Parts: sequence; structure tokens; C-alpha cells
Amino acid sequence: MRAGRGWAVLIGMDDQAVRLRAVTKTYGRRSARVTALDDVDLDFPAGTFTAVMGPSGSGKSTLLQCAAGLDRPDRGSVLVAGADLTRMSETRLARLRRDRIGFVFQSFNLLPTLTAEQNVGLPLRLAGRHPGRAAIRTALAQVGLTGRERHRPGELSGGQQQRVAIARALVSAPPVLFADEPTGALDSTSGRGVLEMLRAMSGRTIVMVTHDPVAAAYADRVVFLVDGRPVDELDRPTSASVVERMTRLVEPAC
Amino acid sequence: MLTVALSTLRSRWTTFVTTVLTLTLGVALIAAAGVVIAGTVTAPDRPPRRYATAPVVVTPLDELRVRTANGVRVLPLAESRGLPSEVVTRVAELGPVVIDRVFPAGLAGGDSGMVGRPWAAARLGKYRLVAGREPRRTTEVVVPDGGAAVGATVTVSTADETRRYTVAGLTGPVRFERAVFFTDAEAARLSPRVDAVASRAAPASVRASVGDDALVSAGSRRRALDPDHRADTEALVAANAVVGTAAGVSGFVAVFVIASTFAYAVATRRRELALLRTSGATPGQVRRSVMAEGLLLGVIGSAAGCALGGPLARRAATWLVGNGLAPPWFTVAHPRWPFVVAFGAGVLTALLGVVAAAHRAGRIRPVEALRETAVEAAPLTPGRWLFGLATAAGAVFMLVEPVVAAPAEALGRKHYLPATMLLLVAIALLAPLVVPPLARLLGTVTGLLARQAALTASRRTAAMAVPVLLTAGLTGCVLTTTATIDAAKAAENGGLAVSSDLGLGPDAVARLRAVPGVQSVNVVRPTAIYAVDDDAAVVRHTARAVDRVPGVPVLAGDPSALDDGSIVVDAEFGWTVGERVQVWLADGSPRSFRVVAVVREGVGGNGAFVTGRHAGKAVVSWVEVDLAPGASRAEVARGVEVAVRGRGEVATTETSPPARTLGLQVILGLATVLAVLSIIGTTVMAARDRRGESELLGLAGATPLQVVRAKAAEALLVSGLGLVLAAAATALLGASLWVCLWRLTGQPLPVVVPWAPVGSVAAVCVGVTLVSALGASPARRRALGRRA
Repeated sequence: MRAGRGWAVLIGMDDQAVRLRAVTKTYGRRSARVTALDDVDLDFPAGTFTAVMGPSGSGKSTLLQCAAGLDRPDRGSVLVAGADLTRMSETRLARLRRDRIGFVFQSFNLLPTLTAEQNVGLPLRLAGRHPGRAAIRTALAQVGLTGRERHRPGELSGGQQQRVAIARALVSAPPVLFADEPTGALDSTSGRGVLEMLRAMSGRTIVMVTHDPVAAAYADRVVFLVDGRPVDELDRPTSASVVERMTRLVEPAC
Repeated sequence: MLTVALSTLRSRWTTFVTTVLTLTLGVALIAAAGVVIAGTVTAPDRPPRRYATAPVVVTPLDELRVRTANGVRVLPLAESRGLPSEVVTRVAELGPVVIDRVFPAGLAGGDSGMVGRPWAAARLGKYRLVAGREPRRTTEVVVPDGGAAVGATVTVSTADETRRYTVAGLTGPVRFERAVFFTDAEAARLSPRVDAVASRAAPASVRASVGDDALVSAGSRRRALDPDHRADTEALVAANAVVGTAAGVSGFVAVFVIASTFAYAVATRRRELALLRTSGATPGQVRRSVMAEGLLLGVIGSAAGCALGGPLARRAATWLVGNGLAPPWFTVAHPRWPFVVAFGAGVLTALLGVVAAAHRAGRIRPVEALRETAVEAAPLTPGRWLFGLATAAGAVFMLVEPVVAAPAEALGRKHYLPATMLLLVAIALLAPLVVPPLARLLGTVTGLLARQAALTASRRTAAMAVPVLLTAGLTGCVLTTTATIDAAKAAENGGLAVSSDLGLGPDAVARLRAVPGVQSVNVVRPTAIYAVDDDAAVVRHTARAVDRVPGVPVLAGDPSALDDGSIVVDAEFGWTVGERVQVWLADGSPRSFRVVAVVREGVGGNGAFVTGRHAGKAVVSWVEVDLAPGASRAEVARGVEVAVRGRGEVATTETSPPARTLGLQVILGLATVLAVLSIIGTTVMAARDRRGESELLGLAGATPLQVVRAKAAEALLVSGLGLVLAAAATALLGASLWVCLWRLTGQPLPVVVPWAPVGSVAAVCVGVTLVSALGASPARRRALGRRA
């Protein structure tokens, strides 16, 4: 029943993988109140690679967390594949994230006690499926980590850890992938490798938060966020055009 | 999910070792206690001894029957009335009988507690002569071997007289009594009361003949007539109480320690659990993972505890016997149920301890993994508020209720132990509320770093301070309570007194009066009276038959007006001056008295006072000696000692029975061991989880010495917090006790804190916190982590 309606919505709708409608999120109480997202309406079309940019404190990480169902907005609705995340119980939300959403974080966020293999297999295990060894090896091989299956995160370099995280995000083949500063903790060579990997995932909806114009240039589209509102967009960006647009956005504020 | 739980256990084993150890110890204690209690309950029936060869024994009923609104109440009498002579005649008509009398008989230079009996009764108890012959003349006696020789002259004191007898024979030792045997006629003269009649007739015919007028015992029921039977029963009940309390306290500490360890483990792992959530774990999966950890630890700890329980029970039994807390023949069997119960209790304890933590773990939001800092939001969750306030209300009730209603209750272990536990739980639950102000106060001493660390994570600080609070609080509260009660009792019995098991004769009392420096003596005979309470129950009260009422605080009336037709009672009776009351004396004879005064209850209950005429057969076992003004207490004490030599001893204060003191020490010792484990556990866990912080401190330019100093300061702050909270608990309990004692005695008695043991436990707490905080230094922990 629920699945049927979901499909109907999916088919009936235009092909927006993720939609944000009037999303507002504030932190803190009284005097320390910060509005991270201010009545945001935003769509991410299926199969596109979107970069979200903005100065520090513009709410880009909050946007990602709300869009991915990691955090709940105060108001508004978030639709992923037509299902409203803001109305789901924590358990249903966890299941949806497990099946339909992948994550890559700046700080990798691997479980320190598990090996690379176990980390990659974790989402499947949590979903109650037995992670096939072959599938995991393939996922690790895709990110160039053959031979490192039994290493723990502490024994891997930053770039390698991030590639484990990407393998983990992809092992359940989610249609949507969110990445929060995936290259933030990496040197430029490892960063480029990671970005090329993301770029090559055709057919997936990817939303990436970054402050690096070079990274943003790998996307199909860049959305600029200032003070919790989307203020501008740029299609088919280059690093030069991103830098130019950023400078224009930030300058009046200074 | 189990893989995750297992790998967590593997990598965080240091964190969980203390939990498992605590559980192991707790379960071992509960199993051992169960085995010992099973031993006391199923103690084998001892064969009858005093009347071993007599098929049927007839003894007096010695019960008081009173009709109340709730039907007829039956109570055993404090003092035997003896067998009515017509009952003796009826039994004698059925066949040959042996008449037994048992009465106190002191052999000069012999043991206390000896009894006199007629020689005819000796063969009933399989006494055998090892030298000489039976007594034939009234001046002859048979005494136990090991003292006087055959033919020697001995002095024997009985209730009314002291006489010299010739030793005619010696008996070999028996285990149930030490007796002086007289001729039957001499025994009848010394104690006319018939205490038992042994018959060879068939039990059924004896029963038919005696009817309801006396008690007929045959077979194993005769064991109940043995003098050591009641002592054994009482010893077993006492052993039961000590062991039961030990199991209760250790169970309480174990639940407490495990709950706080798990709560803390979850609090420090929020980020890790949030990571699981971002990886797609549902709240239920996180909850189950934490529960699975608890279950796993519970099973391991409980199994180990059960393995330890058997040997521990055998040691405990030996210890109980060795310290006189159980009869010498006491041993434990190997029943299975205590182990099943202890295992179940252990697993249940682990689950109970983990359930709140698991619930909280399930509520962790995935986004928490993405925030870098671990600054806590609210100090108290609603659940903690609820439980904290509920236990606080319970504790306040237990502290205030005796003050306003029944002050005597506050002196009982059954009151102050639960009150202490409830109070400590309440303080532990609400501790995060008082951590910030206290930390600010203490932090002025320990410096900025320690203060800020304590302030930003009041729950973590509270979790680390709780084991200290528990250990120091339990010791402080219990020892202060017992010491204060003992001191109050000592203050009440401050005068000089003589105690005598055998009883002091009129001549001895006269000698006492003549001792220089003695102004007056007050002869006290402990007895009992029975009174109907609320027309529903018959209550036995302690009573003293006295020359004059000693100096107890008077609430109303005039105690000096006490005469043979009146009574002085304490407030517990609920009677008023001038009232006419119906009571029964120790031997069950009814009396009607007028109440002339009501006195305070006193520390141990003052009971009732009647004149010496109502003492019944009670001997003078206590004489209070008042000193003349200016007389030296020590000199008078020496004179008194000479005056009563061989019949009594000088008693100055009434001290706690050794069993209670020993039992308490053991119980507190066990609690301390468990709590120390928990201190180590939480401190090591905290140090491990915060090693990043001390590395940052090093990066910010602190020398290694400064890092160590900062850690030491924090450990001191945390244990200081625990001690302050423990002191607060002790002060609250002490205040309640102080008011209760004031109401009981009418005077402000000091609250006594036994500083030596309390101080050393506090020092141990601080020392253990300090050592484990410094021992878990980042460098060493890193090395260990790499090896693992």
C-alpha cells in the first residue's frame, strides 16, 4: 500500500530525486538563536551532480543533514523519492537511509573498531542481509583498495579512509548520495581521485557540500547559499566561474 | 548486530572488565549467601539430648491466652509456671516417672550459666560418672569433671542461698549444658517448681491423660526441650540476617555500579552510536546492540560468579562458625537453587543496569556523529528527573517519618540501611544538578582546567563522582548511625552497675550497700509484662522490677509514686497518667495497675517499671550503684568487684553485640570492594575517552608534568565532589537520628562520627581515583591499544 503510493508519486512527479519545501531550521535558544535554514525551497533532479557552496555558517551542512534525513527541520518538508522524511519515525527513516541514501563525510566517520571490510558491509548487515564477500571486495576494488580489506581505519591514510567511506556508501547501491566536504580532509591528489570517482557515477543523484571551487567544478550545477537561503545557481560550472560568483556573493557582506 | 556488539567488547575490554568483575563478585556473594541461607533453613534435625532416653516428656504449657477483638491470642510466657502438681500425679498414675527441675546454680570458680538438677534426671541425658558415685546425702553433689576433685568441698549459689557441698562424683562432658546434680530431695527443696516429667508410658496414653493442661513431647519433638536448641535457632536466625543483609547490600551496590557503568559507557560512546545510526542502524538496532552487550557481560559475569559461589559459601560457613555467628556443627550442603537464583539475578541485574542506557542509546540522533564537540545539552533527562525526585521523596519520608511518628524506628537496622540506600540513590540521580555550583566552589582550589572540564560535562563528572559517593556515603551513614546509637546507649547507662547471670542474693546486695563511696543501690530484676494493644494484639514489653525508678526522663506524672498497685510506662504504651490498665506479669498472672508516670522511650526502649513484688521468680541480675558525691568511680568499682566476687561482674556500659558489629564490618567491606572496582572502571573509561583532550593540552604547550597535574587536579575535584555529597548524605541521616534521639531521651545527644574508619575509606576513594586517573595516561593507553 505504502510502496504502491510511493511509486505512484514517483511516477506522477517530475524526476526530482530530492525536494525541499519551506524548510526552516534554527539552533540554540533565545539570545543564542541561529537560523541555519530560512524557508528553503530547493530541488535536486534525479541523476544530477549538484554542489552546494557558501561561506562558513551559511547553513550548507544543515541543508545536507536535513535533506538526508539525518536531522529534522523545524518546519517544512523534505521529499526523497516522493516520501516525506519529516513525517517518518526514526526507525522508518533509518530504513530509508539504509536503502536509498548514501553518505560520505569530511571526517570519514568509519567505525574505528571494525575493519575496512566490516565497515563496508555494515549497512547491509544492519539491513539484515548477509554482505557477500565478493560484493564487498568488488566495492573496495572499485575504490582501489584491494589488499586493504582487513585493515582498521586507524591503519589507513586519510584518502584511503575516505575511499572506504565511499565504498560503504555505494555498497547498497543507493539512488541518492550525499557528500559533506568529502575532500576537506584530503590532500589535492587524493581529493581529485575522490571527485573523479563521484563524477563517474552516472545515473545517481549526488549532492555535495563544499567550499572548494575546484571541487565544485566537478558538479553539473552549483547552488550558492548565504545566511540560510539559496541565492544563486550556476550550471556547468568551471572553477573560474565559481570563484567569480563566490566573490560577488561574499563581497557585499564584508 | 552481534558482530558489532562483539567487536565493541573486544576493543573496549578495559571498560568492561570492571563491570564483569563487579557482577562476578556480586553473583558470587548472592550464590554464597543463598547456599548459607539454605544451610540455615534446612539445618539437619539434631537428636534430642537432655531427654535422650526418655520416650515421653511432659512440660508446662507456659503460654498466655488472651481474648481480643481478633480472637484468642497466644504468647509464650517469659517465665515458666512449672507443671501443676495434679498433672504430675496424673502422669505418675500411668507408670514410673522421673521428675526434673532446672534452676540456676553457680559453682564458685566455675562457669557462668550453670544449672542445678536432680540426679534422677542425669541418666535421661546419658550423663556418665567418670569418678566417684551418685549423691546420696543432701550435702552431696556431682559436678562436671575438670574442676574440683571427689571429696572436695565446693560452694554452690542458688537463687536464694549459698551453701557448701561435698563432691561425691564427677560427670563426663556433655555438649548441651554444664550441670550440678543434687539429690532429688535437695533439688526439690532448692527449686520446688517441677519443670519436666519423663515417663515410659505410651505417648498416646500420656496425651490422653494430660489433655490440654501441659505439653507432651515425644520423638524428635523432644529436641525443642534442649537448652541449646533455642540458642542454635537464634544463632541461625542471626547468621541468616547477617548473610541476607550482605547479599542485599551487595546486590544494591552491584545494580548501582553496573547501571552507572553502562550509563557512562553509553554517554561516552554517543558519537560511535550515532555513527552506527548514520550507517543505517534503526533506533531498535542500537538499543538491541547495547542490550546484547549487557546480556553478554551478564552471562559471563554470572557464570564466573556461580563458579566462585560454592567455595565462598564454604569459607563463609567456616567464618560464621569461627566468629560464633553460627552453631559449631553448622555446615553447608550443595543445593542447586541458590546458583540458579544467583545466575538469574546476575543476568537480570546486568539487564536492569543496561536497560535505561540502551533506551537512551536508541534515542541518539544520527546527526550527533557530525558534531565535533561532545558538550552535553541538558544535565538531566526527564526520566532521571522523575526517578531522582521519586527516590528523593522516599528518602525524605524515611528521614522525617520517624522524627514525627515513631522515633524508636530510626534506631533499627531495618530502617537505617534502606534509608541510607534510598538517600544515596536520590543524591546520585540528582547529582548533575549540584555539580556546577560545587565544582565552581571546589574549582577555586583545583584550577581552571579541572573546573571547566567538570562544568562542561556535569553528567560525566557526576558519573565519576557517584562511586565515591556510594562508598564513602554507605560507610559514613552506617558507621555514624551505629556509633551514635552506641554512644547514646552508653550515655544512658552511664552509672556503675553490676550484672549477674546467677543473680545476686540479699547478702550480696547488702555487701554492695556497705561499699565505701556507695550512696545507694537500686536492685533491678528484668522481667516482662503483657498488655493488649488496640484490643487487637497482645504485646510483650520489657519490664523492670525495681526498688525505685532510675533516672529516666519523665514526660508526665511522678515515678517516685510507684507502689505495688501502680506502674510506670514509657511513651510506646500510649497510656496516660491516672489511667487504670490491665496487664499480665511474666508468669501470666493478671494484674490491674494505675499508671503513675509516663517516661520517654529511651534508646533501647525503657519499657515498664513495677515494684519488686511483681518480679516473679526473676533473679537480681542488675544492680545500679549510685556514687556518693566526691567518691572516686574507680575505687568504688574495685570495692564493688570485691563485694560481688563469684556472683557477678561490674558492667559499665552496654556495648553492641559483637555479631552485629562484625556483620556490619563485613557488609561494608564488601560494598567498598565493589565500589572501588567501579571507581577504577569509570575513571579508566573517562581517561581513555578523553585522551584526545590531554593530547590537545600537550599541543597547546603544556609540559607532560602540567598534563599530569591537570589530570590529578581533575581526579581530586571529582573525588572531592563525591566526598562532599557523601558528607551531605551522612549529615542528613545524622540530623534525623539526632532529632529522634532527642525525642527518645529528652536530651541533645551528640552525633558521633567514627573518623578513623570513615576517614580511611574516604582516603581510599580519593587515592584510587587519583591512581587510576594517572595510571590510565594517554601514552600507556595508546601503547596498549596498539598491541590490542
